[in-house]
Amino acid sequence: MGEHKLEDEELLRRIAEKDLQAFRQLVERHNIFVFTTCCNLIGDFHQAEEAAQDVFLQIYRSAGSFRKESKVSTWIYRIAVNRSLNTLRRSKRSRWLESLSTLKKEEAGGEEPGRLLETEEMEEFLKRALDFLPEKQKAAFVLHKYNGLSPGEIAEILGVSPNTVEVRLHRAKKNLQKYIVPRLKKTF
Amino acid sequence: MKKKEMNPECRKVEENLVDLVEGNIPEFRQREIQKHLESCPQCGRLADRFDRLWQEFSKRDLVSPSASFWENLFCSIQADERPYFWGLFISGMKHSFRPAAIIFLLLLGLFFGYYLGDIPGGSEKAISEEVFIDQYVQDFQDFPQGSVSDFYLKYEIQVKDQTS
Repeated sequence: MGEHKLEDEELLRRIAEKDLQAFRQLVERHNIFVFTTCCNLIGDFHQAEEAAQDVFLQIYRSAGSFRKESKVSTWIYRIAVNRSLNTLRRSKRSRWLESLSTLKKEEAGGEEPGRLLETEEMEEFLKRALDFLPEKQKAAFVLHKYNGLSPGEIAEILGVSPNTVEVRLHRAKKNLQKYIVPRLKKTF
Repeated sequence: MKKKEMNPECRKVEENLVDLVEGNIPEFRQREIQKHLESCPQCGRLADRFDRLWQEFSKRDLVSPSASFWENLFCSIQADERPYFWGLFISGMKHSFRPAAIIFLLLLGLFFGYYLGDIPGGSEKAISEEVFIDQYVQDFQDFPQGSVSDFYLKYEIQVKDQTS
């Protein structure tokens, strides 16, 4: 994560002077990681792309205010996580009706993971399982499982201790188990 | 109907599936569970399906944004840097706008002050008092003879007759 540390700082310095070439380099270096984080946290491609755009726009605007208290990449990923969680909160509020229809669908036995293992709906089931998690646990789980970060790196991004991250990861896994097991058993 | 009691060994498997598939269980415990999984087909099937599902979480690749990501971002930056019309107008008018706003507020204050300060004059006040006394006299003509109220009422009527 820190292999581009010096280059990143130099790029930020140039971005603060409105150098678009430097900005493009920074975007190309980090866009996949930022987009993966946004995509997995938000769960919607278009909203994630919008969020990722906002993340880089914010970086462009506030490059001059970077205080060098952490790595540039950590700073960027922190902005990405915060922006994604904000989008998630907004969309959760507006999707409560949608969740009701999902519940009815599940009750009707339309989405059983046993059957889904062989279908394209597996992605949707996993997404729903992730949506079941509280947002802090979800952020820790996504950064760990999908982005492959260690608890120490996640702790830096989320601004908490590594122990807190370990606890959140443990709870996230147990909650996912709670969500998945009864649905798996239904298929027997 | 009484719910069927769950086998304690099955319950342990169910409660430790994540730790089991991630290998976070002590070796001796893992051997015990493995033994149970071989003897209990339902738990075996559950563990197998859970394992396959759990692996899906780790199989996800990094995701790339669409091809137009940079172009869209570049457009957003250009739009962000372009001063918008009203912003430009206000910044251009800054020096003349403030005194004009102050003068406008002063005139507005004078205008409202003039109309709010126009209270009823002396003649309107006298008329309203007269109407009040007439009403008073009509309403209270049955005071006992010789009482203070009767005396005051007669005095009021006398004064009124003299003035008219």
